[in-house]
Amino acid sequence: VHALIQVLIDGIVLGGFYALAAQGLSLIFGIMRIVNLAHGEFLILGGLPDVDGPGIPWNRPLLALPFLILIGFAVGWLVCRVIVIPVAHRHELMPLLVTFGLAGVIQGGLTLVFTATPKLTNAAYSDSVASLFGWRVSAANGIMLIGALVLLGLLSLFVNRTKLGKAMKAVAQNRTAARIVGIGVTRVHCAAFGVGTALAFAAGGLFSTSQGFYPFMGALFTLKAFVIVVLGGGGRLGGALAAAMFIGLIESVLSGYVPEIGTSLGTAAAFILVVAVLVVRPQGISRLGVAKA
Amino acid sequence: MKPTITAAFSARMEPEPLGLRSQGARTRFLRQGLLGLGVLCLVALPLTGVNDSIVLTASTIMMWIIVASSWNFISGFTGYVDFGHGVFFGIGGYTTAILVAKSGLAFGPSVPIAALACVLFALIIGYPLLRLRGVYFSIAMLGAFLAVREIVLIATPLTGGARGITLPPEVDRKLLLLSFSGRALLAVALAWLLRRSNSAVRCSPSRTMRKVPRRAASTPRS
Repeated sequence: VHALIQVLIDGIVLGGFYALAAQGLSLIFGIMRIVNLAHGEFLILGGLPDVDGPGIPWNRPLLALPFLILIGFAVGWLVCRVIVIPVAHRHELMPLLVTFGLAGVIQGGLTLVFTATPKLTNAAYSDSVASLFGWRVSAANGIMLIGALVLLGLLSLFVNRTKLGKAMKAVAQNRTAARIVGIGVTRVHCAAFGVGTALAFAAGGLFSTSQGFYPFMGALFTLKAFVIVVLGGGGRLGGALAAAMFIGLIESVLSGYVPEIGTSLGTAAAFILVVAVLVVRPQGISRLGVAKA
Repeated sequence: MKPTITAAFSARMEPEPLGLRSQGARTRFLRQGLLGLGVLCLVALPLTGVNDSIVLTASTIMMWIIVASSWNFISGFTGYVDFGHGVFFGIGGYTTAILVAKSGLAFGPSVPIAALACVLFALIIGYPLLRLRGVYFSIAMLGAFLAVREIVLIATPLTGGARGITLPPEVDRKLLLLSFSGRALLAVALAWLLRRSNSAVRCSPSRTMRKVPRRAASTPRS
């Protein structure tokens, strides 16, 4: 039982991270109806500067976090403005293709610059572990969970309280009506893409201290985030959080109890789950709550 | 006709076939002629006694022709954009490699068996996945691709995990190029026939296949 609770704690920590990683994708999907296939790559981008990036207070991931969020917003806004918006009206699959290509470019670029060896950010708290009754949470993981929850709370405040956030909700609910009442839909789309990317960068920054990561992990993150969005019913914060916890628990139980191959099995399980969920719900998640980001 | 905002952004917009564009008869003739000439050159290449590296490059070109036209079959003709198409490539490769390396079958007969394995896998995942539309199909295929990749990495006794399987270099490079070329021709010819016969329209499973897009209803079709 003791070991089981440890596994569950690990699952919840992982789930908190997944919730943050998925929320950005969910936001972009809810508002723009676009699946950003480069989301995982943005996450990796957010993690890498912490390792050995110039200009950012490296070795201090928490200090770097606000910078990461700002940079992430700028990158997301630019990507949306320059490559997504121009193709978005042509075909519903065009944004998918464009971001898929972007993901490949980022992945290749990162491999070129940072090589494919796994990276881990060294933070001041990297070696410390908090323990209670013998259950252990490494400081990096604990900070990742708390950071994720705080950021999700801030996001909820942003969407529900600020003017821009409310505009995003309006655009998600009814694009044409939002345009009629004078909301600049393209502007809101770009802002939403920026916020989503900023969340991915932040998630990457938090993640980089807790686990080794490498450029090829991007697609895995994108897919896992998508699984969570689908499971959680699109847009709803609570649903996404629960789905993220579910995925985190599945992965941590599988990797805790199946020797050797458990970690890969957990990943495979997540993808089998996305296929299964999509098949059971073929109309997708579009009819479910969208505007409750 | 400029699409209205509602039509352009409607989430329920029918997917347009991506690979079909109308073009003038002369351009088409010219293009097909050039294509045929190029293919002929590639086929004749090994007979001119060039070195192995060039043969290998030509084989790779042929291979991509096959892969691209096979993608065209599902995505170009139907509008289902398949992001996990590599899964079939991988299954074919692994089936052949396992048959040759583990069960000692010759390379020749193991290739059709690998193709059958792909067909089987496509039937298994195609039945549920083709019920999905648009973005959901694409993502589900990507998911299927990544799931199979993880499973292959786990199944080390069979697949060699991340190290893979090494095959003895028994197959003649030039023969390989010839068979690549033959199959590339076959794939392209099949695509051409399918397009000509318009059976893509007739065997259309309800809504997604080559349906006249709402916005383009007035433009001529090839």
